[in-house]
Amino acid sequence: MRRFFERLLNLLRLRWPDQDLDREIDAHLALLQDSYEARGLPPDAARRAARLALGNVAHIKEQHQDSRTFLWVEDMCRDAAHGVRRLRRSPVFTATASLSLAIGIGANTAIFTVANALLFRPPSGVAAPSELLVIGSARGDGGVNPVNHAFYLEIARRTTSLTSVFAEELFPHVMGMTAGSGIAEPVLGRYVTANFFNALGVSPSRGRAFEDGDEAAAVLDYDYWKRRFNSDDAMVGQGLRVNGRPVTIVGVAAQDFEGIGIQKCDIWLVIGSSGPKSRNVIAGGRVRPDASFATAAAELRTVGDAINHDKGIPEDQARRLSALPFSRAGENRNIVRGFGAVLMALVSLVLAAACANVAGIMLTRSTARAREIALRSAIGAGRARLARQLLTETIVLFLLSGLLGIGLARVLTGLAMRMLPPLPASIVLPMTMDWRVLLFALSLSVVAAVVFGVLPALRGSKLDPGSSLKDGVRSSSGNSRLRTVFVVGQIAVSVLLVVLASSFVRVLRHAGAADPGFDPRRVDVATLDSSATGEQRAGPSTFWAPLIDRIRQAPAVESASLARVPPGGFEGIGLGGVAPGDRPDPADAFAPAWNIIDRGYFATLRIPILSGRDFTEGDTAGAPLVVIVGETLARRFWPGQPAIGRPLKLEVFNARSRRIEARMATIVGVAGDIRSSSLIDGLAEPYVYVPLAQSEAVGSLDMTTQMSIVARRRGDASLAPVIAAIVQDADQRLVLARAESLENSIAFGLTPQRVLATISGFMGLVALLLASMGIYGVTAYTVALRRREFAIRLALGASRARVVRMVFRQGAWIVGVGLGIGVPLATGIGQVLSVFFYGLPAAHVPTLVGTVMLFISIGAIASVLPAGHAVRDGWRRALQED
Amino acid sequence: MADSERVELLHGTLDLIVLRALATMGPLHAYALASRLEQLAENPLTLNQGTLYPALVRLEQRGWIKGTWRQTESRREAKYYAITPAGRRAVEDQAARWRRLSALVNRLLLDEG
Repeated sequence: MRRFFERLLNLLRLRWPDQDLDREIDAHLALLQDSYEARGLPPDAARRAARLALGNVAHIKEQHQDSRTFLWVEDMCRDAAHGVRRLRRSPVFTATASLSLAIGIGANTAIFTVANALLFRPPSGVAAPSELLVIGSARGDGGVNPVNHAFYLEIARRTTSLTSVFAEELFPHVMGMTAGSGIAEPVLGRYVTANFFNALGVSPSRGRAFEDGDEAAAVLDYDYWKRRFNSDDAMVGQGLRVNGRPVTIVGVAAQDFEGIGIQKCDIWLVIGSSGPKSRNVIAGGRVRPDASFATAAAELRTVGDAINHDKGIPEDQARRLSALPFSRAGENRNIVRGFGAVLMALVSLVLAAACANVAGIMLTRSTARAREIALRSAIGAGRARLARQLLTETIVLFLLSGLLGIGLARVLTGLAMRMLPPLPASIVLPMTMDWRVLLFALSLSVVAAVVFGVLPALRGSKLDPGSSLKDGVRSSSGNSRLRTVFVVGQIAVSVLLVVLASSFVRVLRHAGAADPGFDPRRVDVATLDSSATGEQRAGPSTFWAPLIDRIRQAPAVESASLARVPPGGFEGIGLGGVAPGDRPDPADAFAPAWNIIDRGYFATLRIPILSGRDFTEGDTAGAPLVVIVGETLARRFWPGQPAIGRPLKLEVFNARSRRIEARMATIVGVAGDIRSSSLIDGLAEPYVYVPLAQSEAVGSLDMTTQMSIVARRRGDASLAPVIAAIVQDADQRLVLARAESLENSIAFGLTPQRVLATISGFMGLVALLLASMGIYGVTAYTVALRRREFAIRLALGASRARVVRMVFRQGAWIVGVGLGIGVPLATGIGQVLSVFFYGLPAAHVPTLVGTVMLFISIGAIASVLPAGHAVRDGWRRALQED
Repeated sequence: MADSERVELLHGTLDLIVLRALATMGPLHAYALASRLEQLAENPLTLNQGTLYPALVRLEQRGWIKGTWRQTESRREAKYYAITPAGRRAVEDQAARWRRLSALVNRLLLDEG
């Protein structure tokens, strides 16, 4: 360490040691000259002779400088050049090694690229993103839920650790925009607070950003303005109608600003003072420069508790406020991080297998180089120097693979984006390979090289030169043991990956084959926002009833209905709690999943009505309240007894009185359970269905402005254009928010499983390939080591079959140990995963047996060639060798 | 390449010789050391006196020798190098290593020659 600083000092100020050396050389010359003069030479000649005896003074100084400053930098360059030369000399090894490493590094980098885009790389156009945070109410999974606008206003009023608090609607919505002509066109709009742009530091490219006091103002997205309005500067100041409401365009956002989440947006609308206070928003804030994230987060928790307390919300119902670091993943940051970590762990296994493979080969190569290394050490190279040389060679190889891996990651991210099912909304997620990604890939390469290169390098440089020079390669059994350890590790990792991959494939197939309780085939779903007309209506039926009747009459439609939430996405909505109404003091009240539906919903989705009836036209707003419940709920409240005709107590939030009120409803039907997004977790939620016509009587006011049309088609053609035409024909101001087949929307819900299955499947395959290479390598290598032994055995009369058996026994032993580690490991990890994924049994015996068989056959196949080598006709030559 | 290898070969020996000379004869300056080496060598003057300096610097950096400026008997100033305790230990190690290696190189040369 001290020497390091000395040299560093020398590098920085070269003067002082030079002066010291000058002085020393002068002194030396003087002494020499003295001695020559003492022998009788005249002073001039004596000086010349002295200089001659000392040699080239400049050359001495140069050499002196060499050993004083960073000689190792030069050494490293020389080692790197040497490494490159050696790698070029064995192109097959270099190609396979760097390719397998590149796959590992590339897969890691690809996942990091996605994680980087979601978690680390701040959205463009936002000033000082590190000061920002996301605020919402705490959610069990570490994310946050939106808060309502009134709550947001309270936060803004009370906080002291944030310089500004802003908010935006949870999702952008498809809205009907009318510019000039009377026909509405769909536009993705999102409501934000007036300080949204200023708090984020987003400057407008045209006009201005929102200001306090704006009531009906809009800011256009730059790309949308360019695409839709041909970059017309005159648009600023113009009026538009959005969902029937007149708004004025006050500006166009900066060109590089694409919003702060991952969902694209065409137009931002300001939440004015007249907006509904119940609107759900995700809040954000900018931390005061002298406050830390932790203090701000702590303060927000206190602020949230204070608001709850002041509103008189009981503690057990209050939701606590929570803050997350700002990222594109927004309120889902922690889920994204968790999922990313699982993926990263999966692909890291393959990288580890590839590294073990390369380290094993490196080890063999360093053994084969024993002579070269012994020679180098004999002529004075220190062990550290030799180890460094071997390690540098490894690092060169890994860096080369890292560069390849970065290229591969580009291809992989491109492929991954194409692999996703059609997304319901347009996504902004620039997969930029920025410095973070490059740094990640290169440090991963170097770290992997050091971790897996140090052992072979130390081993390689430790060779006792004496025995190595004498014995050639025969005595390096220690290395072959280490190499065997590497291969065993590789097998264990591949077993794990193969078992995991097949498990995920089974989860997918299970989800695909499981009965969701409804029939998604030939069903199309179209979501429509009735507020686009901008009209206030007497009740939900006045708008929806005539519309759905027209759709039912279309020839292509077999049956159609309406639902607040179609299955396949979210499970139901929350309206409040329920309790059995026929018990005086029910202790079993709980909050079920709710849905608001029209008659014909069960028939359209082919959900069986187990007893009772469907809703009818008779269940109007004025008629007695009726509900249909799911089987699970009926069984929960009245096990073993019929539920039909029984009263159900609904404790729902009345939007008009803003209080929780109790209503009695009669159960008229029991429907089969459905598993919608619960295809993932497999539990059937207890459902309560409320008829659309009575939804206001139940208390939900703005719940029915947006409904989904669920329609079963007769033919194969999608009903989306038919529904769109009917809707526009009914009212020109309406646009469909979303139209897709139910099967697609379910497939989207299974994306995490599909991603896991694909990645672990591909990685499992690569690991399998690497493992077979490893088994072959180590068997071939030991056969080479034992060639003489085998030859002696054969010469003494052992049968070839016996020698072949010996080779196979070794392969079997390695595979056996690998399986012995891998199978319990896979079972253990499977157990952990089965908690998260429904339908993933912890130990699936056929999978395990299959995996064991697979690896045994790989071990056998990989031993065939080496065994053949051991007994081929030329074996006698081994006796005379060396 | 061949040239630098010869220097490298020399390094190993030179360092050891310098250390041994300092160990047996006490503190010496570079000139005295060089004279001593010339006496030792079979063919005098095959060694450039300047060649000593890199070795001295190297040994000093390793903490095996230590240089101090003093007056010579002839009232000239010179940097005297003395061996340190670490240097004494190193002499033992290096000598053993050298004996092993030289035996090896000999065998190698006989084997392959």
